[in-house]
Amino acid sequence: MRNRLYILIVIPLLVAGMCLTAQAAPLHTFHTSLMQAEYNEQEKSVEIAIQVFAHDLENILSKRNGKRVRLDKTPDADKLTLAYLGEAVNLKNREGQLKTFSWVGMESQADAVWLYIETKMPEGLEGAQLRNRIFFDLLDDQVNLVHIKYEGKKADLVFKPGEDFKVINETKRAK
Amino acid sequence: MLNRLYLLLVIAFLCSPAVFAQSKTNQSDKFKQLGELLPTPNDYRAASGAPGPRYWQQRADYSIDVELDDANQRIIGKETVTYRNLSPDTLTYLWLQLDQNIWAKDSDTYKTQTAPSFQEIPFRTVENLVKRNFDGGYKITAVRDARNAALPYTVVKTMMRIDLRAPLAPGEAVVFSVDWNYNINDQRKIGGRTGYEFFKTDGNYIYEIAQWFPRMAAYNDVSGWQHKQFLGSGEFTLEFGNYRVRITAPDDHIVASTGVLQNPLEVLTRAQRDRLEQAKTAKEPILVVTPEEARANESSKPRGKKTWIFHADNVRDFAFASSRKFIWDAQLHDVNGNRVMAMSFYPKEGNPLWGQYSTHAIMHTLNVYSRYTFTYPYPVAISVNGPVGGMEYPMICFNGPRPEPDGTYSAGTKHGLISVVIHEVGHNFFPMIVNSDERDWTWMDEGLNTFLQYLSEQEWEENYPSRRGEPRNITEYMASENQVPIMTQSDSVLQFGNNAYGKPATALNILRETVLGRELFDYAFKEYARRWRFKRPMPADFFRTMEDASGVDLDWFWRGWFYTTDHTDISIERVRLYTTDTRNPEIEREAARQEKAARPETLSEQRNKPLPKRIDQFPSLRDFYNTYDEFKVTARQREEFQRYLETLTEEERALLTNGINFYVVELKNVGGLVMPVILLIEYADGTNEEMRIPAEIWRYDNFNVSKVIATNKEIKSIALDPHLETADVDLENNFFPRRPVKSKFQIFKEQKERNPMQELEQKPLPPAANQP
Repeated sequence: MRNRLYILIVIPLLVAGMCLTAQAAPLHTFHTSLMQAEYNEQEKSVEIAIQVFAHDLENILSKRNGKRVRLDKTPDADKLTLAYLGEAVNLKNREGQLKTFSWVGMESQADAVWLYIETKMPEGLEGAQLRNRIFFDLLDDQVNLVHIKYEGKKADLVFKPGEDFKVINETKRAK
Repeated sequence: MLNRLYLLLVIAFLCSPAVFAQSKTNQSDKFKQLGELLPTPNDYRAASGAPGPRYWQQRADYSIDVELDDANQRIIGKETVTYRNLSPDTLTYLWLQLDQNIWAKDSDTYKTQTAPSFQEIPFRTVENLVKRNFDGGYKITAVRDARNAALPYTVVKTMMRIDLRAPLAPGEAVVFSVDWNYNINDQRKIGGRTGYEFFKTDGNYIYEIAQWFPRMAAYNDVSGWQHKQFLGSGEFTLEFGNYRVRITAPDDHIVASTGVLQNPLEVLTRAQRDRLEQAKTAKEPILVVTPEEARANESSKPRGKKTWIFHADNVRDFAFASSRKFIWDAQLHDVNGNRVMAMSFYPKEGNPLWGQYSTHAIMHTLNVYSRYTFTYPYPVAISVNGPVGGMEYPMICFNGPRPEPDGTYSAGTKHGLISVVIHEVGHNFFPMIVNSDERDWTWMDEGLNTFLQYLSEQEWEENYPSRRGEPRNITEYMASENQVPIMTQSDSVLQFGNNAYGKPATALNILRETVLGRELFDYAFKEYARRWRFKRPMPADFFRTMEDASGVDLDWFWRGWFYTTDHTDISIERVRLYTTDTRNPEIEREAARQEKAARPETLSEQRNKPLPKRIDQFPSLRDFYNTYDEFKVTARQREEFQRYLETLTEEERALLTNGINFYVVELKNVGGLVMPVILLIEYADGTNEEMRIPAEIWRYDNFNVSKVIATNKEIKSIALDPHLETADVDLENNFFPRRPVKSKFQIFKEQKERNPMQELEQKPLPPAANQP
């Protein structure tokens, strides 16, 4: 089978990226993000908190925008982050329509940063599909963990590079 | 729910042994002793977890001449190794580690990389896949015996076997030499724990040189030769020995190295030597090479070479760094009487952070770690800034964080630097001195070290933002799928950081705070460090020592936290109230009357009430039962009660009458991990009580237990794990009555006005994002 290979980060951007000063590397390389999504029955909305490493986020935002982006210094860092999340995190309702996220905020915690976004979803999460490609365009060993709570149910999803939309289904744990 | 209960029955029940869970259906035994899982103790490793009476380890002494070729980024070396066979075995060949060979073009590290996703692919990955033109790996040019005659050798990927001319008997030593060279990797491009960084702006390099000479593989009583191939994750274990190393570098370079400099007169200027002398009595770090001098050095050209001679005793490895860009600061630090020269080497790009924090962080680490283990035994401790993000070697470590080019830095970068210096300097204790085997067990040094890193960070400043250590920080990982037990060989560990660093560090913190208490834990942990200082422990030695020295059975803890992927999730399923039946008719009949009166009228009763009744129309229909009060106490009932009281002792009578409430709290182990149960009980009268129940409450039934709380007060609420000390992943089921627990999102949204990041920057709220 022949597949087209999309190199998402094109060479001119990479060169821009390479000129940047060194990022603070973690003690030893490992790459995981964590997403907690919860359906708010009263607001009829999906509330999402995402924990990522700050330097990874700064790296991808810098590469995408061709300039050094710092979460605590760049004035439009919120906007750039939301634009990235809009591409990297996709939620489809059971009819297959993509939802649009709005920005709630971010807060830092040690070397990580929590990102908060939400979307109205009166139709609920039942039968919805999620795809989380955060940093797949930056790191080939990135793993994105997702925990979802909705209607008294819990769903755990794991995304690795190359994986597509996954249906949100209650996770049954084996004893 | 209120239940009545016969007191005498309760007493009988509590005394009865017939409360065991049925063993035929409940297969799980989370308290089973680890005996079958651990290796059988022997003369080398005792059942107590201490080294046995015939414990042995090999020894390797090195004399090395190495040249750093700055023009071609190359290492050219020659070593003479004296290998002492202190084992009871006769050896016919020796194995050496050739770690540089992971960059050989045909290395298994490349071959065993699994395919990346081709849906989306980082550029660096494509570059690594197609542009493998770096000519890495060792070029071994000679292997000779003590008489300079060639020895046969065979390279097996990252290992090399040297065939001895004659078998090496126990107690004997053999001397041989190896000549080699290799090209240094560009760390910024292909990564690694060693390598160079090129600075375009001034044309200079920083070299961090490690895993750079053919090193004797460990030979031990557990694995024989530890020659498991180096694939990149499982670091290494080596043998202790003395090193005599001559490092030749361009004459304008500053060299930082494991060991003590032997020829300062030849390589340092008079000013540098004077400043080093000042550092011996200084209260703050002294600049040996100032930023101005380092900046001037950047544009210098070497006029020749200089050879720096370092000696290091009783170390298991040797590393160094070299550059003309280095600023150098130093301060002599007294650790329990051991005088240690704490030093940092960094380029101007590291300032202002490095000058302010690095050497202080070194000294802080030596203080705290020495308190929990043993006094730092080496004469120097060095932190170097270069391309490597964070990596440890004896007496020297490489740390990456730098401020922005404009000299500003975020709080995250600052704490990132302090944390990584603490962590990598801390590695001197584990595994450089307590010589555990990271090729197999990453957690034995990373987990223990991350635990001590957490303790050190918390002594740096109040509310230091430690990433790992607090139980609440590990809950998401603990609940996640896609994980393996801590007891997994290094190269197969999934979610490396959480598995080998975060989880064991948190487990030890919980063991210290919640299971053993600080006093018992600290005693046992220190004993482990003392027993295995300059020796090679295995996992069982740690598990056994902690139990042996603390006097507490911890097998359930090791089993749950280290051998499974279970997590803590205990739920308060139900609370039932039992009160005593006093048998006193005056009390009990009245209670029954109130209970009946308290029952709500049914809808039909309400509607039937106003209907005309036949007995009202014909009063002759009335008899005894129409006026009988079923709750009225009769003389006979009183008599019966008196007779009953006479059969009781005085103590029994008191129990009967003082109105104790028995609350039965039903607990369910949802997550699978057996853990202590901590209950905070709030009474209606406003008082509180904390119950701390050991994990052994689960020993008969690992999944469902109940606990009786006997009190003459009324309970208003119960909270499980009120201090967030057990890493319970689901707090919603921790309360009676149930309380909604706010999500991370909701907490943030509520206090959003108080977000300092936004307060400072006054960022406008962006519009909704566009979808792809």
